[in-house]
Amino acid sequence: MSDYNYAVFDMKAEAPNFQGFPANLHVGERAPDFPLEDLESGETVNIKDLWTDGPVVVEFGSFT
Amino acid sequence: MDAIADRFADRAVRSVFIYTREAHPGELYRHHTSMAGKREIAKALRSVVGLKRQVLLDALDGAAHQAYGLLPNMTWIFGHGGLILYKSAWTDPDDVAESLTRALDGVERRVKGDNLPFYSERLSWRVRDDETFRALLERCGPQAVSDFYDKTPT
Repeated sequence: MSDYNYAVFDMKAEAPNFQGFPANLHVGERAPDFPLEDLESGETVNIKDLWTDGPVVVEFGSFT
Repeated sequence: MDAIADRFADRAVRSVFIYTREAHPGELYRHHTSMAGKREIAKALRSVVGLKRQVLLDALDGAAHQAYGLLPNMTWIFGHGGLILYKSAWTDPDDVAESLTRALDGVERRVKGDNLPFYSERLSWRVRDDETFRALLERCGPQAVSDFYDKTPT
C-alpha cells in the first residue's frame, strides 16, 4: 500500500502502467466489481451497482 | 466531463468520478496515509474543481484503481451487466462523447435487430497543453511541479 500511495511522483515507475493499459481488461469483457465509498453519504457503493439502470461513464482521477 | 454527464443524463446515462491516489502529491495535497485523509482531499477536490458528478472513493490500497489499470485519468463506459463498452487511457471529453453516442445508438439499433457489434481498437489524440497541465500541478504545490518537470526524462 505504501507503494500505491507514493509520496513522490516518479515517471519511470509509472510509465509501465501506460504501456500495459491496452493488455488489461478489454472492451467486450465484464467489468470487475469493487466496493467504493460515496463521498457524500459515506455509504458503500459497489461498481456493479452503477450499471443497474443503464450505461455508466466512470472517470478515475485526483487533483491532477 | 460534468457537461458530458448533463448532456447524456436524459438518455439514462449515469456518470461518476472515482477518486484515486493523488497522482502528483505536493505540499498542499499530500499522498494518502488514511481513509480519513483521503476523504478530506476528495472533498477539497470537489470544492476546488466544482465537481457536480457523484464522487466515489476507492479503497486506500487502490483496489479498483489497480484492477482497472492504475492510470491517473482513465475513463471507462460500462453497459448492461457491466459489459465494457469503452476504455481510454486518458479522459478526453470529446472522445468520450463520441464513443458514448456510438454505444448508445448501437445498442438502440441492436434492440431493433438491424445491426451487429464488432470489436475495434484505435489510437486517439488529444491537444498538448503544457500550460494548463503545469497549472494543475501548481495547484498541488511546488513539489508536484518539480517531481514532474525536473525529474522526468525528456
